[in-house]
Amino acid sequence: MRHTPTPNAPYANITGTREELDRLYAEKRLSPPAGRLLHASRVLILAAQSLLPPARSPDPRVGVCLSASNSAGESYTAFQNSLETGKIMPRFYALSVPNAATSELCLKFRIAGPAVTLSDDADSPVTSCPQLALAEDWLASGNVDQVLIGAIDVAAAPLALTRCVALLTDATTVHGLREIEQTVAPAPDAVAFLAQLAVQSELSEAKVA
Amino acid sequence: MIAITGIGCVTGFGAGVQALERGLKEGRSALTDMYQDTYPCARVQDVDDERSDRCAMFLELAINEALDHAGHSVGDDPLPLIVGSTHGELRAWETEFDPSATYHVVGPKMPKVSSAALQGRAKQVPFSMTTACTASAHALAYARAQIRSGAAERVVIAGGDVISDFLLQGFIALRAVSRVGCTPFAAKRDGISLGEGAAALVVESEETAKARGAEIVARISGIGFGSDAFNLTAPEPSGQSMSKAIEMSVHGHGDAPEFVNVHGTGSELNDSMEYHALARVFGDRLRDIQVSATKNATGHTCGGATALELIICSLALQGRVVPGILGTQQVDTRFSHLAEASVPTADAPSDFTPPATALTMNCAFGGNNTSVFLERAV
Repeated sequence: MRHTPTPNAPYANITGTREELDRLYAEKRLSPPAGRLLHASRVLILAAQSLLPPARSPDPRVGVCLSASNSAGESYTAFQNSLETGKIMPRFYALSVPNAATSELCLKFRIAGPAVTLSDDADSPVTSCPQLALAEDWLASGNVDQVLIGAIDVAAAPLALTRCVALLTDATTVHGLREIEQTVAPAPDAVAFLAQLAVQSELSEAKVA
Repeated sequence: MIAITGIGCVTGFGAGVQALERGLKEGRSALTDMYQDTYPCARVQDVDDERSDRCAMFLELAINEALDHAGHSVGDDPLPLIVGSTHGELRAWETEFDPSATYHVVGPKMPKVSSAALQGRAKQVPFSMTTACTASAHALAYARAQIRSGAAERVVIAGGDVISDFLLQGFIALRAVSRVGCTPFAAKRDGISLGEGAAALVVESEETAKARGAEIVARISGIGFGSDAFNLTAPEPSGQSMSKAIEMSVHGHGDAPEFVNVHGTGSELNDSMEYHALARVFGDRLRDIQVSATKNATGHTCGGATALELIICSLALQGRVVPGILGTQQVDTRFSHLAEASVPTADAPSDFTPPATALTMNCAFGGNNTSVFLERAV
């Protein structure tokens, strides 16, 4: 497992097997309880906890834009299986929408600004990082002060990883962040990378290169 | 200012904007298919039912119509195409599902629109917007960002979804589906009605559109967003987040819109939340706004909803059809400002002046809210 939270860094990444990440979630005694969340949501929350403080009320000045390919696959399968067996479980339908993991992240950290989920086309080369383009547009509009961008994949597909590296490169170049250690490693099960972007004046000294 | 210069759609009324316009004008409902003999829904008829990529097929029809309308010809540089969808090629995934296999941990594929089917006039970007029923609003916002930054001059955005057992059973399991056809804002509303289809828009800067002599269908002057951070399926009842999305989209305009196409699913919680959001922002002025809810006609097309309802708003701004709250005989008296507002019929009287401004609101699972403000072309 690679879990390298760097204090005060504007980014976080985590990779690991499902068992490793579930164990970590339990050890940290995070809420909501693991059983109530998608696996992808737990991975996202693990990554995001070093970036976002717990919020008491919804904050419309914070937005989030994530690539979340495959994040809801387990729910699709679980709901379809429930239809086949006749023991229908409505919650799995609600969790099958591809933006479920992003929504659960918003619920956890009370993110009330724009929240966008993208799904990558696994057959196409990565040529850009749309998360970054959207985040910059939101920041430029003055409607948000801070945007969490990133990628999550829980199906061991290499695409999110590639996207993460592209994101690292773009974020480093565009936002002048100090060189970010590329700790994203091939993941046996899951990978998440998150970066925190903000209007420069909103970043603390510690977070500015 | 962003201009819409091409529109296209496929709905339960058939392929094309004209079919939609005719259906709305005639006050018909496309909720003619009865799922399990109980739940009305709007299916697209008269299309190739053998194609496994049904969502892409709908999108291709809608996008080609929008490109034709915008005057984007074969041989012109391909435009970037941004697609939004909830479940993409769900029907194909469902058909191939094998409960004994483990690989189905991967969900349905997002629709892949082939450039060849568009005669090379547009090329899909390598990602899709997947925020469920607000997906095409976010596709529009991304297109605007691309145009503003100079990364693209003209962009196609599209949204769509297909009806399948999985989708219908999902909403039925949530006890969210109407047995009579949705009746938005009615006192005895009993849930949503699903529809399938796709809608597409060509957007570009107003300057570019004017410079090339393109017909401007409508202007987009604001897009707003918000997240409830409240519940995965239920909206936050006071409409606070939706009201912020509306304010963001109206910002700088001053006046209230003259026409509002609400998400209006016909669910108890959604309609109440939307009413409170509108009342928060517009107060007593809400009495003077023509409120429209069109899902009794088209069904709820999920990922296509915003794009489709932007087309309906554009038709209203052009005075072609100005639908009211369709399917509803009497508005719930709890929505007092709506009850007193005029509920226009689909057939506008001859002395009717089309609205100069319009707003469309959409909401999705997870409390994802969007609002788009439009103005009549000048």
